[in-house]
Amino acid sequence: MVAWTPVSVPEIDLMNKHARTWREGALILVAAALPGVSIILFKSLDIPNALFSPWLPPGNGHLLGTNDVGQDIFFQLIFAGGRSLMVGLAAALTATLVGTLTGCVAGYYRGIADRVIMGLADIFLLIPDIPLVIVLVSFFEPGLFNVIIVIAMTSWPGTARVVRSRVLKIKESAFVLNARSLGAGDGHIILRHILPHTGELILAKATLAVASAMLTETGISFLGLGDPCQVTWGSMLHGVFAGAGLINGYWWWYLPPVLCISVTVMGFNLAGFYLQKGWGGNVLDDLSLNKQGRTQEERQADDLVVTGIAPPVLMKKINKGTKILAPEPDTRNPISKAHNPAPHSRPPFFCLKRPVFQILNLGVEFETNQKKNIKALDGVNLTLENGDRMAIIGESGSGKSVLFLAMLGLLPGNARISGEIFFKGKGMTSFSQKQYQHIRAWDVAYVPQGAGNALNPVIKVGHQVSERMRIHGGICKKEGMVMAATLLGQTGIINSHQRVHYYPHQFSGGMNQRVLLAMALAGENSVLLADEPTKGLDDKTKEDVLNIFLKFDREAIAVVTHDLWFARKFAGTIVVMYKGIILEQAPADSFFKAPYHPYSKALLNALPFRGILNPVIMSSHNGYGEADFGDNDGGNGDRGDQKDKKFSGGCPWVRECEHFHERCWHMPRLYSHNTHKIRCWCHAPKN
Amino acid sequence: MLLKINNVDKGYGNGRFHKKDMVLKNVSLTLDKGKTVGIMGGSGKGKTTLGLLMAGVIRPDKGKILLNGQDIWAGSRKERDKKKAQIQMVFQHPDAAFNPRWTLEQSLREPCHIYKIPLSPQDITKKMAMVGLGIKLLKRYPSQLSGGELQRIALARLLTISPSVIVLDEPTSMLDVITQAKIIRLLMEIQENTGISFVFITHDGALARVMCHEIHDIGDLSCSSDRVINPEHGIFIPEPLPCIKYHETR
Amino acid sequence: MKHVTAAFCQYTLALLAVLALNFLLIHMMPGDPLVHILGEEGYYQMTRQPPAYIEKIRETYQLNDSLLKQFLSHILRALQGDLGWSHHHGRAVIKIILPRMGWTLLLLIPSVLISTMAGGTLGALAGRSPRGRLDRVLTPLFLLIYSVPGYCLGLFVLILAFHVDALPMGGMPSGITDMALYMMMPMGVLILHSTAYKYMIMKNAVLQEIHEAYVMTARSKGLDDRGILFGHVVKNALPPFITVVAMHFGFMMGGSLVVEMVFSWQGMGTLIYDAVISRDYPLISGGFVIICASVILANALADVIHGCLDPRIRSGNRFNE
Repeated sequence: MVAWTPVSVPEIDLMNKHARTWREGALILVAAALPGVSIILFKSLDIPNALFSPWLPPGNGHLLGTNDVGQDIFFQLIFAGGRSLMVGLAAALTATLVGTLTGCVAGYYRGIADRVIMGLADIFLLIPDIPLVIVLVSFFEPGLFNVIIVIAMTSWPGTARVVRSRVLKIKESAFVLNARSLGAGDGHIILRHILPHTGELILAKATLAVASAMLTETGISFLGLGDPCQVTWGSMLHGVFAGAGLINGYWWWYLPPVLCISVTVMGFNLAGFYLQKGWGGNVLDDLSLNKQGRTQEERQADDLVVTGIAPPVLMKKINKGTKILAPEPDTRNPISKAHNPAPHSRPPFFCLKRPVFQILNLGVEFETNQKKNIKALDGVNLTLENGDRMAIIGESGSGKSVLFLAMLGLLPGNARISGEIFFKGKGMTSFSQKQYQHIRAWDVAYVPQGAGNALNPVIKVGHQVSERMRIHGGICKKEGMVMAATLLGQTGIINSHQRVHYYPHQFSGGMNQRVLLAMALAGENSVLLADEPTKGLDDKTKEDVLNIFLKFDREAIAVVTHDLWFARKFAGTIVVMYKGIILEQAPADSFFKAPYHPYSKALLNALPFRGILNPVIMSSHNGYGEADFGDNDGGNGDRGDQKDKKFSGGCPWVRECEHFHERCWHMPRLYSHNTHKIRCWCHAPKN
Repeated sequence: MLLKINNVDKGYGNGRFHKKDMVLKNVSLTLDKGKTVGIMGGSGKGKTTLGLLMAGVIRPDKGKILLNGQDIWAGSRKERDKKKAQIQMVFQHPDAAFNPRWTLEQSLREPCHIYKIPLSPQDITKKMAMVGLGIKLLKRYPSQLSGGELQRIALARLLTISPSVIVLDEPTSMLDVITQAKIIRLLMEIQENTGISFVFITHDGALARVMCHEIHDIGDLSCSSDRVINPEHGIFIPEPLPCIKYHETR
Repeated sequence: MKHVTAAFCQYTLALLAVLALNFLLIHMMPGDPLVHILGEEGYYQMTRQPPAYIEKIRETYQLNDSLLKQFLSHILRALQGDLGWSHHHGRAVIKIILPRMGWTLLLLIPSVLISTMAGGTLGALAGRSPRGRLDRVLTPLFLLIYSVPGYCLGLFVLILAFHVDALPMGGMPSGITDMALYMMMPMGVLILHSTAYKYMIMKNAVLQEIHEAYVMTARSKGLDDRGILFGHVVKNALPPFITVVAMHFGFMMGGSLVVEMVFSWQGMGTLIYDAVISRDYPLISGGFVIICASVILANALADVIHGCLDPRIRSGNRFNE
């Protein structure tokens, strides 16, 4: 059974939030305690028991009139309210204590304790609470104390469940593992790491528990099953019902308790929801050691790039891992030969070279909650012609994926686009959603990254592969399956007629990557954009994927990758991006022989075979004159550092460039040099 | 012989509710002072488990892990702690390695707090300088730093208690190539300066070849000396890009 | 398969726990267990009989046997549908309960179905465009409705009806024709309340799913928003939603007991209320067992549906959370 909390809104960087949440929580508790205090005050006045004439309407010395016996409703209301609140608070407190304790034990120590506690909790959760309370109360004496205990009994499992999963999550998070590897004991980990991260959750849960405890209490006293000697809001209502107050229209008698109950329960509920929002459900998700194979980092990276809703500080999480250098296949191999000729000497697929995509001065910014916008792309000029095989390389956060999303019109709502993209001569920025959908359906196929996440887990792969043709091409499900089987066969999946009926989780990562490729093949679209097709694959699969790519005969293919080996094998043109700016564009052969831009050089030098042992190649020049920045690993330059602002106009590589010069504070143009286009002052024409 | 692993077995699951899942079987390995041993293998082959075993985070089911000839799991709590402090570990995800609610200074002080060792501000400055960072960064929270910077601080944190062995579990796989190169260089510098020993766990053959004096390959369940790859042969190590000049291994 | 077995075990255990609780209440409470077996009225009648007769009754209820044996026979009898004899009504408990349970389910099942459909659809639509018009109108409204206790909502409706005087104030329908009229108010309250809850659950589920990478994949295939929402997102959000709906069934059951009282609907709520007032213990505990059994059954059913909808569970890859 899935543990659901009533309303949880996943969001928000908790860093700055938790202090505020604590304060608010404390305020709520104080507010809740106030009526209890007032009760003690009123109790000393002994007013509620005084009797006046019955059914007096409000006024005449009685703020809210009197009831059938002649008790003053206003004082009774306050008196009863205190008691209702007390029951709610006491029951919630007990339930929270028990739930937290059991949840902690179950979550931290696991094993048998976990099984027993959670089994018990599951059983308790299955039993509906109001009937249980009714039965227990009718068998026991219906005293307030019993009611409290019984309510606590029914509501601890919810807390225990939530606390357990939270504790479990933190316990398995990397920083706790780190602390343990440092040599920390259980005490240190529980006290310093786990409890501080569980506090707000428990508070939120406790607040909601007060609401539900009050709900149950007023419910059973409304039925007249509570303690007859103790007046609560529920039993006041019971009195109205029993005394036919509703029919006789004594509104001052029934309205106040109804309103009081509603407002109080609502208040606690809203407060609880608010606190829950504050802890944000999955703050720790990105920290946990995920064992399901799809690492949170990947997911986070996808999320961030795709949605762009993350605060700037998080943008740096888009790390794409390292390069894996696969063995160079035999050059006599005919497949590997196919890529050897440079694109201009390659026999063109069509007689005339004409641009498929023309990108002019494209800039993309993401609006964020904070005032600062994230600049993902800046001044990108790129032409993709038919017959082109282009690889866009660069490190994480360089905006490669955003470029593709912009070309497909898939940028999220908070993206602001400047410049223009022409698809076969038509300007895309003014397209409507319908036109974009038409282009995605018929012209441009996209291979998304992240093989594990990019497929819908509950739909058969065959249906996913053929979906494009089913929806746009009007074929039926059966035909779609046959088509999908053929396509999957083309991408090297054996026995594809059976495997179209599989679900993504039954495939390995490499297989899922093939499914994504087959999906892009399904529409016979003329342009193919592939985002990190080799990410997370082992060397063997990578080679297979490469071979599939080499067999594609599309008008134009562009691949975003950080895998230099793949880029070299596949592409005719290499485009180097860094921090949303194109730094170099060159024919592949020439690029890998001798890149021009200092960044490209650094990139190739950083491969394990050269630069690491040779510190001279890597420049240690530091644009700040301060040792505060160890390195600059592609975090979009947007980490809230004021110093970064200084560079916003200049060459993005200025910090670490070995040929640093004063003019580098200004952005160079894209200069042509031989077959290369380089954005560097070093290659500016001398004048 | 600084660290020696003797015929170690490790499996997960307690054998009652779950079937016991053997991850490592009969693994032996030795590490000398000032040397780096590489451990390679595909995913799910137990590289990280071996790392955790060596760092004394988890107990082996069978076999012994010896530090200077003494079993690290033997003796009283105090003796164990003393041995444990000598072997430390760096993990794959620098972003997740720090408590997100602590400033980095708090995190940096954590090991000293655990082992009750005093740590002066001068020490902090010195250790941070060793990893090439200023102390200003310590005022910040982990989410405000880049992966490379965090990985450096993770190293500095371990250096505060001067361990003799550091187990590096894919320390650069989440970083970009250029940052990776810098971190690897930094590690080698630290080794030269302090004579520390590394266990370098990676899936990247080329990287292992640059870093390590000796590379072991974890096959199915075992990692024994007869499977040691001689770096000269490089059977498991892919060829470099032809345009890039081949560099001698260490 | 593992999942199905585990779930089955859990539900069986839950049912056993309910029966055990029932047994414990009868036998472990201070005083004569016969009070709890016969009810206060039955016990009072019995005490006026000769001691031999009392002994005979003790014999029939096996009160002289060991507790374990009593427990086993208690469970056996319960499983055969024998929940005791109500002296107050002069009939077998199960015979009293079943028709009343029918009335309650008549109210409850349509409410569950309608609220699930309405809450699910509205939640999905609102989740598709957060901060859209639908979201901005419905979310505060439903949050408000959810926060107000169900029977308070019922009282508000009742007060309203009292002043408008269009619908019957409560009671039972006399024929098929005025059934709808009488059912309208209690059912309306139940539907409104649980729609609010399910709306929020679905909205949050969709909100979470909509950021998954497969949504981008679907968009890149040229699907429109509606196709993505109902073809991809909802398919993923549905299985956990069904589980929540099932868990909420128990809550609704409890709520309907109180709402029935408000509208004097002659279902389980009023029955149990009367039983408590007249201290008819066999009826109380019998009613409790039946209610729990129906809730457990609903959850088991939801588990089956969940399994059908989610292939990961079907193939046993993902057990529980």
